[in-house]
Amino acid sequence: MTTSNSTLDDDIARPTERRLQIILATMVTLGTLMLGLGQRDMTLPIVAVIAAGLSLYFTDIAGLFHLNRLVANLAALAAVGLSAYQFFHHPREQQLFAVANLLIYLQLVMMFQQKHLRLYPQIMMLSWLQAVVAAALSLTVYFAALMLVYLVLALAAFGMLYVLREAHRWKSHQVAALSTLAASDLPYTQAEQASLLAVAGRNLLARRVAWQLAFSVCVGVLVFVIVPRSGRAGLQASFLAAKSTVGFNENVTLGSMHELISDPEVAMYVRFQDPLTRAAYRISGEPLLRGSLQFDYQNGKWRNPYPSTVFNSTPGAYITSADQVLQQVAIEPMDHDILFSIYPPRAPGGTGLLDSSRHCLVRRREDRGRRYNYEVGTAGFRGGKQRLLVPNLEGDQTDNLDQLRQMPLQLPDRGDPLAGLRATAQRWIDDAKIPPGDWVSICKTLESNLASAPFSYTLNPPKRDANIDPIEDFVTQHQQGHCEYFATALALMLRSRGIPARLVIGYRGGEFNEIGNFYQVRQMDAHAWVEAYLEPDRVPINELQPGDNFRSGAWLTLDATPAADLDAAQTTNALWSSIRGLSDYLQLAWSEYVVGLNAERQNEAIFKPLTEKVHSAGVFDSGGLQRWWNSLVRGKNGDDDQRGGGMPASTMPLGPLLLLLIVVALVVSLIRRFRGKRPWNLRWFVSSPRVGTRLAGTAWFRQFDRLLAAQGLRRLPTQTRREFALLAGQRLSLADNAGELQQASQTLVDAYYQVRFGGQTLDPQQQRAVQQALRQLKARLPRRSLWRTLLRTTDGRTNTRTHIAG
Amino acid sequence: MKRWRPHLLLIPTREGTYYIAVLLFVLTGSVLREINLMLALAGLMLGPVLLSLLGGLISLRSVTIRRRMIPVARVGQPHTIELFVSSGRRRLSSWLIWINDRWVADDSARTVLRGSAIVARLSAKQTVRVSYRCLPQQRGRYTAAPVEISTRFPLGLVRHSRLITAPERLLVLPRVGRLTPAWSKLLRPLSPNGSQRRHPQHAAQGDFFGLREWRPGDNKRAVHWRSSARRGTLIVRQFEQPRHQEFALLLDLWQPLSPTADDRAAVERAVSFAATLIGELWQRGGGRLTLSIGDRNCQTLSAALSSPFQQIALERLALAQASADVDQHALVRASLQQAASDATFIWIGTRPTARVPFAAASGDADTPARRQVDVLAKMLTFNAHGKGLDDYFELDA
Repeated sequence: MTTSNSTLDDDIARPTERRLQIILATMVTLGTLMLGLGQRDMTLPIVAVIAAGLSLYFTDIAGLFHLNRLVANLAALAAVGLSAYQFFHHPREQQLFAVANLLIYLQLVMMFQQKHLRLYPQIMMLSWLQAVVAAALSLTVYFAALMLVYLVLALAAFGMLYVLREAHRWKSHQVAALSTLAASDLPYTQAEQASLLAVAGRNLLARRVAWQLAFSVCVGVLVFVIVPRSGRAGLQASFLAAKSTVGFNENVTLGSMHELISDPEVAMYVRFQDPLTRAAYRISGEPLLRGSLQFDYQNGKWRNPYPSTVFNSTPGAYITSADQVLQQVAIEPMDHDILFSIYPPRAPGGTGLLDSSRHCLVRRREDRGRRYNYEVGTAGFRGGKQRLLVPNLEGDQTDNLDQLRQMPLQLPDRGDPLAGLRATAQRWIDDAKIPPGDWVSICKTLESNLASAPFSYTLNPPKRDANIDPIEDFVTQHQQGHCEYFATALALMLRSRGIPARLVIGYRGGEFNEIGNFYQVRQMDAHAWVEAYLEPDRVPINELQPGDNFRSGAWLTLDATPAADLDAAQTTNALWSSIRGLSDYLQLAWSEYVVGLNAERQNEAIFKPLTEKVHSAGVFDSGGLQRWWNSLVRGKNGDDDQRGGGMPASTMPLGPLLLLLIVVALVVSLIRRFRGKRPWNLRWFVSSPRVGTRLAGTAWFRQFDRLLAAQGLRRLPTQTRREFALLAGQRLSLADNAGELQQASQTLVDAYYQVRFGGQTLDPQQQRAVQQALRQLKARLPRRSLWRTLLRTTDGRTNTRTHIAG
Repeated sequence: MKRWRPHLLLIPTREGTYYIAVLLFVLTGSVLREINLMLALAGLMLGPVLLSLLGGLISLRSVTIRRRMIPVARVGQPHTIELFVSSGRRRLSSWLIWINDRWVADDSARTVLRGSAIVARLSAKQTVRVSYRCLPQQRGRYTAAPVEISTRFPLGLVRHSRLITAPERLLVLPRVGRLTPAWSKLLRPLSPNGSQRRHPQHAAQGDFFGLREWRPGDNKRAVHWRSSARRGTLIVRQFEQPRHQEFALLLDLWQPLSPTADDRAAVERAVSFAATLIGELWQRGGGRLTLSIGDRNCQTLSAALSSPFQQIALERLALAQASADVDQHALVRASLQQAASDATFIWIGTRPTARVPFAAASGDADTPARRQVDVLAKMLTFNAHGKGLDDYFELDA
């Protein structure tokens, strides 16, 4: 007999232990998968998954192979050494990955050791640590789903391990008693061990785990909501900042973007709102979110030659138009500080940073590594369309219009590497017969020519002629390329015609989410286009609108990239789009309220609405609770509607959610009630006390059945009702030391047989006897809780019942 | 000094310690680094801890325990103690409740009896009967310590324990051994009927002298069925009772102030020998016994051998405590006062050196010198120290 901490060697305990091993292997698998998702590298997790399967079969089930302690210790030491090496040779941001790898290595070693009751908790704790590290690395909403599954497994594993340990402890206790008592004196039997292990039975365990999961989730949500955050935003993604692959790059090098542009990683979420009503502002077409500007072109490379000059300012100071649209942007961690917005920006709160030299909005360097939320106004929309001609604002800021006009005219300064480009531009203008002073027409002509054959869009540009400028090659020889080629060609063509132009790097479009009314912009949406400067006297009159101020000139947005090619890959079926929309919406809500919850948002989204609701509803006044509840169920009150709520999830009313919850509870209750019933057999329905006619007189017997079921007693298929009732009565009498329970059972079953099979009715005296017997049983037997009564079937089908036989 | 124990105790188990350590690490890390997902994870991890705290508290709440047992046990024989565990709650079952029972000897806090039982499930308003067996190793009176009920339900992270007072006392009688044939040989010359062994059930072996109506307690073998049938009521035969032998047992429970293991063993052997003798004499039937126990309080009891007397005698033996100040003279004096002059005196001593206890007693005014001489002449003297009893007495291992 085993007395150490080794596994229970009894046949009785083995099935329970086997289930624990399977659950543990699944738990380990899930933990490593979560870790892999967080690391964005699935190599080691896949190895761990395979190892978990192999160890489960070869080590745990078949017992063919296991590492002995010495080998396991050596392997663990090697794992520590390897991880230490990785830790000290990785950049600081990636040191956590080394820790994650160490956890996986150790897990692998442990999985191949012979399991015993002391090893199980160690494996579980290691797996928990993996989940912890994964939590530090993960950003997606899928982590939440995986975490819930993981929690279910962990609770089940803890529950089973606990029961196994108790059974083992009991066995050890009995073994210890054998030293003083003879074996025949021990009350220990296998049945007792089986009864202990039955506590970890599937049904009991599943029910307990369900409750524990619900409780844990409630506690988790409560803790998450009420723990106050400091002023800083979450540093969740600081570990990932170095790995953030971007489609956007401040310094454009032709030919490199095709590797980045296909990255589906989410770059930002953008919502457009009316600043006064906070209602969604719907736009037509794809928004062009401007990031940085490029001025200086040399041999295939763009750069911004002006040093960064950042200061706190309100870009809105330069806006004169009253037609404002509010942009809410949540930008993911990136390795640059550029912020994106519809041009021209205006920050109503005055919280933006302006880089006056680079003419773009920026964030602080320390905010790069975290999710950053900002609000920027813009006057770039008219009637739901993004304006292509916007007033020049930089002139006001720099107060140096000459510099502004000269800057975008730069061309390669050695020789004439763009002769072909110049000639092509000249030819197109000549072909169109446009007068030299009509800059707008020149711009449109060059744009349209570039966007048409033989030019075509491709993510994999052909090999360029290394002897000439890449853009010269693009225009004259290989007319395939992506947006950077088109934008560069257009900008340089414009400059060659004396029209100031600059390259704009940013994002175009993204997927519009109908549920949350926001654009989800991915790295693959990174885009380049051109802004051409029009002097005040060249601004077309028909573009002028009330409130416009073009005294410093205007910028005309030109996009020569063929639009049809960009959209080619975006045809998907409606269902998939809906699913993706919902997924994106959840991801945004997750990012906003979980990953990116900071002090400000916590106050805005949780504390403030709650206190306002309590105060506004006057909960503590007479009738206040009712009003508060009504306002809670109806959703927002008038004030909230005015503000509109900054986050998508806050627009979801509570009423439908509650209704949904109630419906789900009812459905679950009905399923549980009729579970196991044969739909074609309507006896259970007919015998309902409400519906039945002939059998309605035996409804009281169903109460008796329920009372027995509440004690965990169930009739065997081979038992008659009389046999079952009498045996149950005996059992209850033994348990309660009361013979009257047996007598009561006898009375009830006699009466039942008389009515059910004898076709007779009970006379008043018999009815009194039946009622008295039921009262006795109800008084003597433990009652079920209301909740259990609601959830369980009314015919007493429970999961904890025991069969009784004579 | 009595150690204080709290009424309710929460102790994290080994797994619980690991778990709570990880939880604290996660909580601290998440708060310091402002990592929201880790905070959410910490919240989720907090759930099982709270569940463990609440689950244990609820499981042990309103649980009462009642013992049922025979209040007398014997050293070396397993003793069963039944525990009735009841739940006073109206809902919610309790799971895997350990019950640790402890009995402390009145005369020595270090001497304890322990027993454990486990209840797999205790439903609301239910009473479950469990039992355990313990093996007393030391005679004496024991008092039940508060019963400790504990559970690690539902996850084994925290151990809850509660003490329930259920006062009870247990008397552990001395171990009884076997007398060897040498003892019978030794005693035979002193017996009035030679070697004839008598037993209460075979007491009807004297000469028949008449009939009388049956009385409760009469041997069924004595029923005279023919006369009973004739008279319509039970009639028993009466026999002439044989002459009974009287014994005086003097137990000198001496023990030095700093006793060694041998000294203690000698005392226990002497007590066991005396208990065995009493049982043997009771089985022989009839007779009278004077038992004088020389311990801290020299005590003497004398009566006809019967079951109640045997119980009282064994109880005195169970509670007898050895002393370094045993007054042998007082012991002899008390015995002589109670015992008949023709009684067989048996002296059981525990002193390492055999001494004649009456050497200095000749001048005692209360006891005639002549009788003392007779007692000395007839007395059977045994020394429990060393191997002095091995020829006549065996104890089961």
